Amino acid sequence: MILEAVGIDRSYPGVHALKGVSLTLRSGEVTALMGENGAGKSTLIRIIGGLEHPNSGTLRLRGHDVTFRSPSESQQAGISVVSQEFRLVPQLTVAENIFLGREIVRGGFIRPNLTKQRAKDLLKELGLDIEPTRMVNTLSVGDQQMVEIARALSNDFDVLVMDEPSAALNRSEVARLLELVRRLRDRGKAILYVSHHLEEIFEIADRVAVFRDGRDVGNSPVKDTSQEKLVELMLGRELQQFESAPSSAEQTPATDDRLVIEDLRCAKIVEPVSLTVRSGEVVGVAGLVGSGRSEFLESLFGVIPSRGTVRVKGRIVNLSSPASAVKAGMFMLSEDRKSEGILPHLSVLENLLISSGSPEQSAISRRIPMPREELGIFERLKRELRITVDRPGQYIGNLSGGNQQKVLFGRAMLSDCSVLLLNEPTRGVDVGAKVEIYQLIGRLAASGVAIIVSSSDTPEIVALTRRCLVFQGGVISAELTGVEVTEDRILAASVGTPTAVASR
Amino acid sequence: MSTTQMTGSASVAPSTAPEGERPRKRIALVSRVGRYYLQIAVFVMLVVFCIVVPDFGSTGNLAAVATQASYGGIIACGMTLLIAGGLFDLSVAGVVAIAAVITGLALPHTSIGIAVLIGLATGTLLGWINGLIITKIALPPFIATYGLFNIYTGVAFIILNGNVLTIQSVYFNQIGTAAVFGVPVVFLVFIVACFVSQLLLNRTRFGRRLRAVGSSETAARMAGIPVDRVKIIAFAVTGLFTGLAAIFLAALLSSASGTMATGIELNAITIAVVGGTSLRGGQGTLLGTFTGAVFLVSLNTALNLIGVSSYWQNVAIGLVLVLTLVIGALTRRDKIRGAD
Amino acid sequence: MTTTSIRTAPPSHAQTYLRALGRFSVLPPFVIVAIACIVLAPNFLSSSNVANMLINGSITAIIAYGMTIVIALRGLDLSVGSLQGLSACLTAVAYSVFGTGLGIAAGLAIGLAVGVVNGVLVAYLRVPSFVATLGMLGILRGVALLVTNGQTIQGGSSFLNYVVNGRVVGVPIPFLLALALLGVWLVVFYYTPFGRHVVAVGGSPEAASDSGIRVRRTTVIAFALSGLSAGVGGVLLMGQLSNVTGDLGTGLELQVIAIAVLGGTSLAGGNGNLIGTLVASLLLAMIDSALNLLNVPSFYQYLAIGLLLVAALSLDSVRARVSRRLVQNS
Repeated sequence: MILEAVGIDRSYPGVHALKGVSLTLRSGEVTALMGENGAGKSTLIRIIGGLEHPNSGTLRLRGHDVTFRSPSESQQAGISVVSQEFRLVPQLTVAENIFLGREIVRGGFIRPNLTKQRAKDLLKELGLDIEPTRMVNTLSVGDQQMVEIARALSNDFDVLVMDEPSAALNRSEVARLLELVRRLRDRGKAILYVSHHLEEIFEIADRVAVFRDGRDVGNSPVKDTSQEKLVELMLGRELQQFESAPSSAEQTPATDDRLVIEDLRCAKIVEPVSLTVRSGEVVGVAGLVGSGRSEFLESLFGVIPSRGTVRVKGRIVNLSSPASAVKAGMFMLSEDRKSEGILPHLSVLENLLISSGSPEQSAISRRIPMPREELGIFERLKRELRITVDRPGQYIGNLSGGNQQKVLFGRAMLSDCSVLLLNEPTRGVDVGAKVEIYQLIGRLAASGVAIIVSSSDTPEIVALTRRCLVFQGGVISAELTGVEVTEDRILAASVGTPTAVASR
Repeated sequence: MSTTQMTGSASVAPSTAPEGERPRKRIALVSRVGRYYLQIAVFVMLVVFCIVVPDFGSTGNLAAVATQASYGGIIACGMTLLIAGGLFDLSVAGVVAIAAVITGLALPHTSIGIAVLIGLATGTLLGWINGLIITKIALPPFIATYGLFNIYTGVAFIILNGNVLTIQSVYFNQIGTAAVFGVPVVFLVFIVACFVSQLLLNRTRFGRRLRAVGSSETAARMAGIPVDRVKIIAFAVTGLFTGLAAIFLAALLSSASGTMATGIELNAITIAVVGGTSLRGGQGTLLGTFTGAVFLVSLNTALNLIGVSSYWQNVAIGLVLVLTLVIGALTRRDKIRGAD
Repeated sequence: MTTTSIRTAPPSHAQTYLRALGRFSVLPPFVIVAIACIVLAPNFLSSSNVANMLINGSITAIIAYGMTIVIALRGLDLSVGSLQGLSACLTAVAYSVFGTGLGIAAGLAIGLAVGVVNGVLVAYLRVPSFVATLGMLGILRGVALLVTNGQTIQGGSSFLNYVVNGRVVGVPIPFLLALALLGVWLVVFYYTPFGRHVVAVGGSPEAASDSGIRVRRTTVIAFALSGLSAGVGGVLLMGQLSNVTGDLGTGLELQVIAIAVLGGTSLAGGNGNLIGTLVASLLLAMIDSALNLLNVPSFYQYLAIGLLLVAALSLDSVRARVSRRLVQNS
């Protein structure tokens, strides 16, 4: 055994991410790590990579206790991490990116031919035919991911940690990736492979560990387990072929078709999507990272270019910009609250009121807001949404994630939208706020708003919706309604197991 | 502590713009002093100058300081709005030239009032064109407005065929030196410009949207703000202020020419930054801009009066700018969570 | 249309073509202006006029190389105009006291020193480079005027004069120097870790620091080199003019930034087109001299530069938009 994590515990304010997990990696072995979002996988990886430190518990490398204070210490100890986000410089070539910060030099000058050759060798090892002199910004996302992996390989390492390396890859690229992982294992490397894709795990892994809610709930050789069993472990209960719908599922009153989407497609959505959402209905959109789930919402809101017809209350929406979408009565809360949601230099009150303005107001009162009136609205929404904030003039960045999200919900409500698009509405939000946000979504739907919720958190989709589209690789792999909306069905349809086929 | 400085009036009325962190009672006084440290420092400096520097406190000199501070200051009001929106305008010297030339050419044919209106309209139009080019053709504001500066300056020269236009209208020229109860009119206009900009930036939907765009353009777009329109209006408002400055400058000089305002763009940016407006965008302080304009001009005048070579004035202004930035960096006054 | 084809498709011919056009976008205006000048301006190709153009263009280019590096790092250096003036003045003053060698050394040393100060302000105090160097612009201009006390100083270094106005095989020495420095810069930019780190910091600061690049050190070095370049420009200017005043180089900073952008370096950072910088410098020198020869009033220069800049930027913006659309539709 080469790397051992024993009783690792890590908590953040409001979140207990890891509750004493243990994991062992052995040389010449691929250990797969599974678990739903928020199960604690990423936290453990960050700890192994030296980006974070456990509150308690120990890391043991080759039998010795170690603490990594920085990523470079972890690297020097022989651990290489392929992170989920790309860390490439688009304006540099493939070879330059691979050796960035560790250039091959003689007498202070880069040796271009040797760099190219080494890069070529590394890429060849990956089974890749990428020209090392190509600029990274001309590569596809999949190829960029491969370069990222090649960069990790250019380090001398014994332990390789791969965090969802296949998320952005297509089928043939995944096959190449698995081939590479196999070769590295045969050379005696210890590999931790994080993935949501069951097929991959059964193809590549020797052992599989499952995390749920910050605990390790299962760890066994892959040959002793089955796909169904793994899904059960992730869910924490038995997989049922037909699960009864949640009790909250009442019959939706048949009302008007609020949002009608016809043949919508964009760069990431391969087959045109058509969907009708009624007033007061909450429709879920599930799928793994890179499945086209986020792009679906973004193209609806005019963030990315798309083709197709979208009607709100019967009128065709101009899809050219978010401003025109808002004008048509749509509103969207992005998954990236920090850079696409909050306006850090503006106060909480201003963040709340930035999109407000109903057509009933006179032109002047819309353009010159009355402080007293706005304070009234602020106080009302603060009470209604239970936002914890000292003063309306506070900067929004000082609020907790949950309170920030509530402010953004308030913003959407004040925009008077009739269609609300939510992408990961509870990401980075603590449990208490999560429940409140669920209640809020319910209230908004009850008031007649048509809502689409996109989420990687399957229980969230199940809790909120009675109809759900599941995306896989840019196509809708399943459309579930009523009692069919269950975690297992969604999970199965998004990872593409035989269960999904059976349930269709 | 992070501060967004407001004018005195705004901090009395309930304001909706961010106030920064309110400290606990005991240190409230200290913090208030800290928030207005620039205003206090400049006030103390003025008092000291009045006592120590011969002739500085004379009515004539104070009026001269006020007049001098106003031209760059009025333009700096517009620049503060632009910087708050994450924008920039290096073309203002060219806009001043064209607006002044057109006003000067119009004067013999029409009343002063109409000529002034034509000058203001010219400034606004050129600002609007700037905004249009930057948003619709999607050019980086910095380099595009530098290109436009060259075009405007060239056009002003070409209209006059390279000559200086002498303005004969005595009444028009009086605008440059006119005073009400001893206070120069241009200074009063500067104060009004500061108030208007302050209200525009912190009390209107437009100002809120402008700061939103400067704070995070992506987030502003997602909030449904018509980003291009907001930017174009900001440029047009800056053009209007620039036209205003052009009229007073032409009246003071009794002339108009292509190079009458050379360097005023960097001067205006310096004033705004010394006043405490961060180039990172998202906020702007008009009280700071006012103080910055007065500060820089009175420093220059004082150095002049005590017989320091005028060359030192360049050094002094540069040092003031660098010191302001260094102090800002060391105390991290501009630190806002979630930004950057 | 399948996902597979999107991902593995090599860039289409149209894309490659547009990309290449983007890289050499300064060439078409250069050729057009050159032809126009040759046809319209009398004596444009006379040896003295060509030499004059090359000398002027080369001195600007040498300063613009440094600016190109700073822009590649996602910064700006507004102090180079004043710094060139100050360096020229110090060279003249030091020459008259200590002789040629120390004169040149003084000019170069002040450039390097100011560059280091700029770099420290930007990298360690995290002041935006625009305002940090704007402050230096004022300070250095004042110092230059103080050094000369507002007078014209007779430099008269016969050696420098000889070098700047001399020729080797008929080619002006400053142009040879500009070519040689271009070679050095290209090697530094493409074949040293420093050069690649500049691109990394300008292109993706997070990726740069994650890769263990010392971002602050890279920033200081880039600004130091820009300062040194302005110092070289000052020494050469003093050699060209032989008498100097404190207001030399006024307004040069924005012109040099415009040159770098015309040459194809984006203000967004992450790329630097040094060859384009040289071509753009010569382009502006050409326009300058043609307008002179045609007896066109000098103020038409403003119009010419402005139109050139706005037109080139607009074309580039349209090109970028078309190439983006091609990517999306493939």
